[in-house]
Amino acid sequence: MDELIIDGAKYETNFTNKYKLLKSLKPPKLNKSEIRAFIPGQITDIPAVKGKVVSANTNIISLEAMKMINEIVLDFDIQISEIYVKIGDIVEKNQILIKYSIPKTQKKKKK
Amino acid sequence: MLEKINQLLTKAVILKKGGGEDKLMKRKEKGLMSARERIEQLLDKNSFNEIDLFVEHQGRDFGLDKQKLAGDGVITGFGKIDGRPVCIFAQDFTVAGGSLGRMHAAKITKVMDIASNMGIPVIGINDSGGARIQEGVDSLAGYGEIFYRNTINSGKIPQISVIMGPCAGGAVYSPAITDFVFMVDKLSQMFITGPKVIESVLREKIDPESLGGARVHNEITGNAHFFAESELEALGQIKDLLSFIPSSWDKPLPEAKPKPPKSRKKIENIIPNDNKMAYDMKDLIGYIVDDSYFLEVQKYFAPNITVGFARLDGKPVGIVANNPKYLAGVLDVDSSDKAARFVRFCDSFGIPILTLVDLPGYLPGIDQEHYGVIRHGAKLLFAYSEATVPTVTVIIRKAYGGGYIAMASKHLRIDFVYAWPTAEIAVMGPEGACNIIFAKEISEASDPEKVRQAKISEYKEKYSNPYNAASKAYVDAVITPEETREKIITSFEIAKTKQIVKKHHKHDSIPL
Repeated sequence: MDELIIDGAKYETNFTNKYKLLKSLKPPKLNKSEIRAFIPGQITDIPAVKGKVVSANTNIISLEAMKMINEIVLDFDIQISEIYVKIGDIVEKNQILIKYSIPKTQKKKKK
Repeated sequence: MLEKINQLLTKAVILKKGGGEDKLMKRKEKGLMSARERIEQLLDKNSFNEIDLFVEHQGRDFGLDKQKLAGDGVITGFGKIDGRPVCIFAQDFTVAGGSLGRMHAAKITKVMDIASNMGIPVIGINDSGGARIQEGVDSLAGYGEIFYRNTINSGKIPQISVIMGPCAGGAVYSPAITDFVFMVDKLSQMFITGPKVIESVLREKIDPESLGGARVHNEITGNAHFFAESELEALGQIKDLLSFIPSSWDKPLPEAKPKPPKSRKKIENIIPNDNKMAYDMKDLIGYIVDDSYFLEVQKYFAPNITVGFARLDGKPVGIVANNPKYLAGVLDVDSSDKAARFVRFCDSFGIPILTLVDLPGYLPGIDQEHYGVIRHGAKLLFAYSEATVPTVTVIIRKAYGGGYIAMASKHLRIDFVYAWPTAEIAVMGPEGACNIIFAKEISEASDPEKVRQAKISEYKEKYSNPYNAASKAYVDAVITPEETREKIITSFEIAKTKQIVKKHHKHDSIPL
């Protein structure tokens, strides 16, 4: 027998299989220095260049999945530190694609 | 004349062999019934009347024009089950994999229209690889025509889906709209995107059975209502189900000879004294209903609520009951959905609803809140509130808080609400209530635990009973377990002439 606590009272009962499987929907932690594949797919374009700045709302890298080409953009400027993939690569979900930093000019703008 | 008759008979014999003797033999070797055998097994002997045997597809592309497909891959017609007429169709996997093209769909919609016009149930046996790709958008049109009819016939005639093979892609939405879905272990499969697509897109490997087999849909997703070990068992379950439901929404309920409950287990042996101990609600149902026979619907899905059909004095009733054996009988996302759907089915078809209450409240948890227990819980309140069929509620033990309201309380216009002397109708359990009401007294006491226990006893004495609610007329009568069956029967008898005229508007807007 399992125990379920409701309003401070312990009830003797049985957990269902599904109850044991349930996981809460926690949003994934955002790492603000890298871009990872949000879905498995294929890299079809990499406009970003190592060391160069990519401005906000501009395509950084294109990932084709589910018959759609997804242009990955951020709503702030970034400077590319490293590109881990090349055009044609097939990537897994969560695979790291790009590492970046926030360019100094952007930081000034924020002020 | 004779020659022409012989010609007809010869043609029919060939067409009735579907995909041919070889394919039928192979199925037999695998231990599978043919589409025709399934129909004959389900219907009363020699009662099947086939229609559209000579239908042919009109595909002109991709070489389809050179192929003959017997009956276009589906057998349709009408017949009888226990003497009552039904319409039926069965997809024939031996003919082009049971794939659905335009004429295949037209045959199905024709029998659906007959069922709708005559006010009789329609039973669909699904066994199909999916859309007939060669027929392109015509096969999609076919599905759409079926889904549309499933929808407009919903609540008018009973619609039953039997999955006896694959049912994949868009095809799943016909069963999904129908009232009851039957699945057979290791034979039935339902999914929108199959294992191959999932693997190619997401690189996640899963076999068809684990993705959308009978166990998954009966236990995890709740898409199916009945689980069977074999085709024969599933067909038997359908007959059992039909014995409880009317042929259409405005037809009388099928009555049987009244029988007393079989097992008169002592009630003290069913319900534990300690209200925190579990018991199986189905034992209590057996104590109340005719012949102690209960046809459970969605037995494996959200078992913390039990729903199904039984008879009282020979007349069918739908039963909704919290089951403390699982998750203490709480309401949660799945159990609310399950019960709400069942209540609405019963209400559509004029089947009286008996509700047995024993729940501590809603299931606490981040997952429950984030999966939308508010939205799902609302459906059950909605379903009970809009129901106009005769309704009776018996509160057995706990009826706390929002759970008390949702489980067919007097406030939702339930005709008769009874409570046992063991009932506890309160805003929450004694422990939780005392922790709030006496928080200060407890924390400031020299022995907090002693004070807490004293307060809990005091609260139990005053509020954990049915009399407080009865004094406010929220409970119509406090009754003994022994007289429960008779009280319920008499109440439903009185409610037989119930008439609630709903105000005319288009339709309600249930929180789906």
